[in-house]
Amino acid sequence: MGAVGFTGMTAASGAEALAGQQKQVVVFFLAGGVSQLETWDPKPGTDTGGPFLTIPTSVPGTHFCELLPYTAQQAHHLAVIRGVNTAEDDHGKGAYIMQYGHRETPGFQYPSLGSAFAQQLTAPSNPLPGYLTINGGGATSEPSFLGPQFAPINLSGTNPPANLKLPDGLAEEHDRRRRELRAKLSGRFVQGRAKAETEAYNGSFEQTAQLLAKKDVFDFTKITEADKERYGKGEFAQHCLMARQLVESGVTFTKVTHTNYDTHSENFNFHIEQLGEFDRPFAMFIQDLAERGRLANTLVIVMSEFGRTPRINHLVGRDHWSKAWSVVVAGCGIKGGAVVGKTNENGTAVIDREVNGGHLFHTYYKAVGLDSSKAFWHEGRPFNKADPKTEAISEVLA
Amino acid sequence: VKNLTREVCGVLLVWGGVFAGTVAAQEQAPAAAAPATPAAAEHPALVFARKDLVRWTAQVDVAAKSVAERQAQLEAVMKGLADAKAAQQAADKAATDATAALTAAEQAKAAAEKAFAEAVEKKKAADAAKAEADAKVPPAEAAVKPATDAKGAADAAVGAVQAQLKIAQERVALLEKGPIKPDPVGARLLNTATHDRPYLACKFDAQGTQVFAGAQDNNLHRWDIIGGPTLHQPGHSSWVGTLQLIPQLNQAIAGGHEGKLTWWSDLDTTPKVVRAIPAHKGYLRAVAVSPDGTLVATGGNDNMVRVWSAADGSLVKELPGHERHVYNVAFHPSGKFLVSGDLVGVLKQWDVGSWNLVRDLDAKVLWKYDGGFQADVGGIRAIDFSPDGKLLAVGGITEVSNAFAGVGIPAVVLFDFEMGKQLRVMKPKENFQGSVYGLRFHPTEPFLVAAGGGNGGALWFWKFDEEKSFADVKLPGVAYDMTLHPDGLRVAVALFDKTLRIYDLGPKPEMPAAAAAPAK
Repeated sequence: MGAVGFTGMTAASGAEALAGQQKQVVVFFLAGGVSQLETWDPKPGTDTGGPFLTIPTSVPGTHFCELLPYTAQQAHHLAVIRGVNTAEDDHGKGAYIMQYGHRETPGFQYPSLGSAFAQQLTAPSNPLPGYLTINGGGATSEPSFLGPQFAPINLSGTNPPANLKLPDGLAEEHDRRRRELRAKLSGRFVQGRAKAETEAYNGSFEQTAQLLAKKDVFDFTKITEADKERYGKGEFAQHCLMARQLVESGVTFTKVTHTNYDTHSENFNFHIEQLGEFDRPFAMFIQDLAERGRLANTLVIVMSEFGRTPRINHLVGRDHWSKAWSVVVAGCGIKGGAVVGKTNENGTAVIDREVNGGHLFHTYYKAVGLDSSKAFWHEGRPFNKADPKTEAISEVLA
Repeated sequence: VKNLTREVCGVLLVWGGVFAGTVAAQEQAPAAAAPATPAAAEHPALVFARKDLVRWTAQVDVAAKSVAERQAQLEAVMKGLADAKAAQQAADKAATDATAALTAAEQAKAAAEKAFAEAVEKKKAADAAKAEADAKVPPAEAAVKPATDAKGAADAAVGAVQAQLKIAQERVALLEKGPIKPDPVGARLLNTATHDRPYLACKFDAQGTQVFAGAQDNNLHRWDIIGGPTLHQPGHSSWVGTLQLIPQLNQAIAGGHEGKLTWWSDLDTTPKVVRAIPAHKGYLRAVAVSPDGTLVATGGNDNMVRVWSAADGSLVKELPGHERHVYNVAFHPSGKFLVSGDLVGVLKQWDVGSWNLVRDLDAKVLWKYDGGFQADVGGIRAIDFSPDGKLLAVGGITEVSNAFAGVGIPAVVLFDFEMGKQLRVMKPKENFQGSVYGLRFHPTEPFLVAAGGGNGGALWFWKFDEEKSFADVKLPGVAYDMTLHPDGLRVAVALFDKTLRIYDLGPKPEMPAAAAAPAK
């Protein structure tokens, strides 16, 4: 299956050709809180283990839940962090920790991981937006003080960003002249008034123009039937193919949201359904990036706002559980096949190498070659990119 | 030196005597001669001699003084010597004494060390004995409560057995007067069996003496409802969620979430697996046995319905057609049809023998695609035919407002099976959130009973022509299955609270509270 649908360069030549390229990031956010027991840290046969069995993976000694047969074959690309304790069981607050690296602070917002990486990893010459979200999950407030140019642009369905097409009746030449006139007027307006707001305002027009010029990036009709067949049915499969195209087009940060895993009732039935959608497309995405030499420069993160309770409730569901769950990373700067951290026999507590959101953010930064110890500076004050009391998880770093 | 000193002293003493006489003469002479005329000048030699004498006399004094000093020094030295000797002797004695004392002390030390070691050993032994004794106390103390509890339980069990005996006597007495009808409104707990995992499935055997069950473990469970032990026999590698009896073979057949189908024999002694086949990929969700006991139908998460030979486990027919997980299967009482139902409320009627698809029935009211959670919820969670085969009922959840919290209303959809027409959707008379997970038509009376739960658990009883239940019986936990006793007067439920419970639908006797005590 590995080479099906792969066109162009071989893996080796691709890796060489792409060496030295900018670092890119793709986050798969499994909204609602995916169960660690039905994915990366199964506990079969215990009172908390649920009905599913485990399956071996491509890494000897590492087992995943049987609901991930395709992903299991890509385990040698993945590093599993099994000792995550974020100590936050609220959806919003948990999601904030995972995507901003800190607990929410009243009256202040940190830049999100997407916005921060868009700012720090995107080459000035790259005309594309630095941060795109697929299937929602992006907010205009995410860049905080970094500026609105690093806010996510949301893609809905398989459509390009809204209003990418010129209005009917407006020819490209007319549009070009219109933009030149606006630039002249704007240039006169900002004389003696240069401010961040005006720069951002003008920048948004420039970004739009650049986007228009690169609109083919968002033409997802080019995806071949063979690829669609290989990735399988469902929206998430389309979203993974879109993410692959965005990575190959040079988008710095892409976040793909897959929903929903908030399975307070019938956890196992719903995980069969949701992971049935997730498993194959995600595995194909990892395989394709690896074969095309992209994985070496692309950090892939699979996260949720938290995991799910080991205890099975009266509705055969699992509730929110942040004390002992798992996050998976792959690709750029990551040691494929690593498993770090350990939970106890029935998964109720971390018993080895406990980590939190701070550790994860240091790890993400280090994986893409950025220094997480250098703070953001805003209005004369430093703001840590990640908790300085924590450090990167060296065991998963290549 | 001593001799020389003595000789010198002797000479000096002689000289001293001579000089003393001479000096005395000289000293006396001038006094006698003073008035005389000056004496003639003395002979120079005499003068010299006198001078010499004077000087020698001085020397004698010096020497004598020296002698005295040396004598004193000698005496001091001699005294020092004597003192040193004495000290030496004293030291010798002290050394001798010390040596003796050391020897004595060493002997004493050895003895003391020996005594110490012995004391240490004795202390250790004493400590160990104490620890052993201490250790025996808590278990002994701890054993008191279990023993007391066991005694209490035994007392309670006696009470329960006596209560059951009384109920049985009353039931016999009542039945001897004539037939009795079940009265669901007065349903009450009759007996309970406890386990360490939630139960998922249950089925009375044909004799009505045992309940076979599946749970959130890998076992087949057997509960002898007349006081026998509950057996837990391993045979699966995942939860056993469905089971049936094959009376014609005196066997049970169970389906696991790993997809395995198992046949069990020796039901009255120690059930054991006589055959196991991988029947489905993913959950095996439902199993049904044909009325004549020759066929077994199964449905599972591979969207397939399969029919097997009950006698040898061979595959009779594979029935593709469902597009989603198959949740339930049931044979028509005539044995001519098989009906299967899936996650999205599609029912398929198959012709037994030709295995042609006869028709689809629509029970989609028991399904919803929740756009917020982007997931399907519901399905045909329970199924049964009326004994005359005219009615088909399927159960589940309807009007779902929150899929992932299980918020919806338990419902049974009743069909006129001959016409293939949906008659009504039946719901509990009281407000309730949850799902139906098991249902059965009463074998003789015109009502059906369903069990389920969500915010609590319940049994609901419906007459065929009414949408609202006529009796709701609260259960202490969510019921994931139910089974009717062959007498039609008792119903058993498999509960999430890790119990199997039997409820009596018969006329209400005098019931002591002890009857509700858990059975072992």
